[in-house]
Amino acid sequence: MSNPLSGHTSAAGMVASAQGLRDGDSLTSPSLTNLYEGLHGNGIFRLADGAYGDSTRNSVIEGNDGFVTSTDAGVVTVHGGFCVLDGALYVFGGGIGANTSFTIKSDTNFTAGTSLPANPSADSEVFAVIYLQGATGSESRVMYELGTPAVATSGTPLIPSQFLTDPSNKTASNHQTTILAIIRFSINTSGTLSGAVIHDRRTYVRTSPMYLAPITKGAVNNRNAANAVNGVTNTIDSLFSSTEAGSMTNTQIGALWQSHTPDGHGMLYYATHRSGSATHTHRLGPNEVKVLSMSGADVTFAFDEPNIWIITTDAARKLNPTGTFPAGHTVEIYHKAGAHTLHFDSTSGGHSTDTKINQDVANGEYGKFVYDGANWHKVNLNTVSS
Amino acid sequence: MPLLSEGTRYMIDTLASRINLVEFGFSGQTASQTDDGIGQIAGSVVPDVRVIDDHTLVVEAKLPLATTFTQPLKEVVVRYKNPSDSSDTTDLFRYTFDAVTKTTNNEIRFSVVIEVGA
Repeated sequence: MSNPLSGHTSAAGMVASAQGLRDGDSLTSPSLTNLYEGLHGNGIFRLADGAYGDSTRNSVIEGNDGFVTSTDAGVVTVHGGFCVLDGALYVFGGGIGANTSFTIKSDTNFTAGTSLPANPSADSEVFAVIYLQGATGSESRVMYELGTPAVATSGTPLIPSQFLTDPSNKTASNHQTTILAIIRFSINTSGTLSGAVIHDRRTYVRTSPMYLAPITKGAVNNRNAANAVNGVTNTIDSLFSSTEAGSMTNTQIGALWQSHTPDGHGMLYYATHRSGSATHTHRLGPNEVKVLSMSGADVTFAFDEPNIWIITTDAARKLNPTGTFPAGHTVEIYHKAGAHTLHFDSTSGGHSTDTKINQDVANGEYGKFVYDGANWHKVNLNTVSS
Repeated sequence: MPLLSEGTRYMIDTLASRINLVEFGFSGQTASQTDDGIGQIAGSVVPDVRVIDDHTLVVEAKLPLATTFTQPLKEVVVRYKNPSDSSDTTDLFRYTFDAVTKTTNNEIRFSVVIEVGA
């Protein structure tokens, strides 16, 4: 059992002379360039990262996503999987459990705009970079680029670099890539490749689970109503004040975060644009139910307070929305007990703009209401069967 | 009595013509003005010596991919070796550095700039 990244970091599962990132290992340019590709979100999307019972989850072996093997004569086999390049999810190498093979110097899935090097005048060493591109191509998105051979007694072959600029071809739209491996071959004067040493250079992207730190204007664990970042009490731009305030509002840029409700419950918020570029903050969930026996007073609620009410009335009462609500906000009310009226969005005390709906949800009835950005509408009202 | 500019150039030309060997070694003993030059020799390289200007020259030596050692390298010496008399050597400069393991996966390039001042 081993860390699946250890093929890259410590050459685990590779041949003895393979290089990782240990002290004393030799770095090659993809040791850095592929790190930046990973930071940009390009890499292998490894299904085993989410499958905690998978038998190959903790291993660097043939068959793993993007694992590269090579036999003499430059035959390279790449085991399939999924990758993310420039935000797009692609299958490569035939997908999970499959593989694709090609022969370096013979097959044409090499970087467009480059040419294969001439056979050297003396036995030499040469590097090949094995990488993924967006276009399907002849080898299921697997490409290679071959460097210039160098005689080992006098120099060092260089890693090719055209793929860093244009990994596919000049007409492709997706110009992002991720490297799977570097292979060092010996090459003789006839151009025959042998003695492959594979250096694992894979990087993985991981998006799940997505952890959400609780956002509060207070200290850690502070869930005071005044410190909720709900888009109204505090907006996502008001984490800092004055000249340090954020710039997201009215940009059409969206944001997803977790804060808390006035009752101190965790709530997922999503800010996005509507009616042009205007930013509105919505509560995505969870639903919050309030079982309430009203006593001596009417009740008001804001958009980040309960959206499902089960009410017992003690007299004729009003349940009124107050403050800012985003369009599409839905409220459900079940008047469970109490032989009194229960008016939602009442004429006196209802929401502050335009026409109040002033709908009585009678004892034993269920009502569902939705806000359109200016007014509340009844979308359901019926007696709940016992 | 200051060294004249002409003398400085003469020193540069003399050093450039004499420096003909760079020795890499295994000894990590701290280099000093009074040490005995190379500590434990690992390998020799014929350097590329270039005069930059009237008071500067650069010496470069490379250990290529194929060269390997069983121990890590820790020192380097710039040397004159008489081509006609193997016992006639003069170690001119010695440096020590953090250990580097030379394998078939790496290349070591040594460059030093030497200045002669009045």
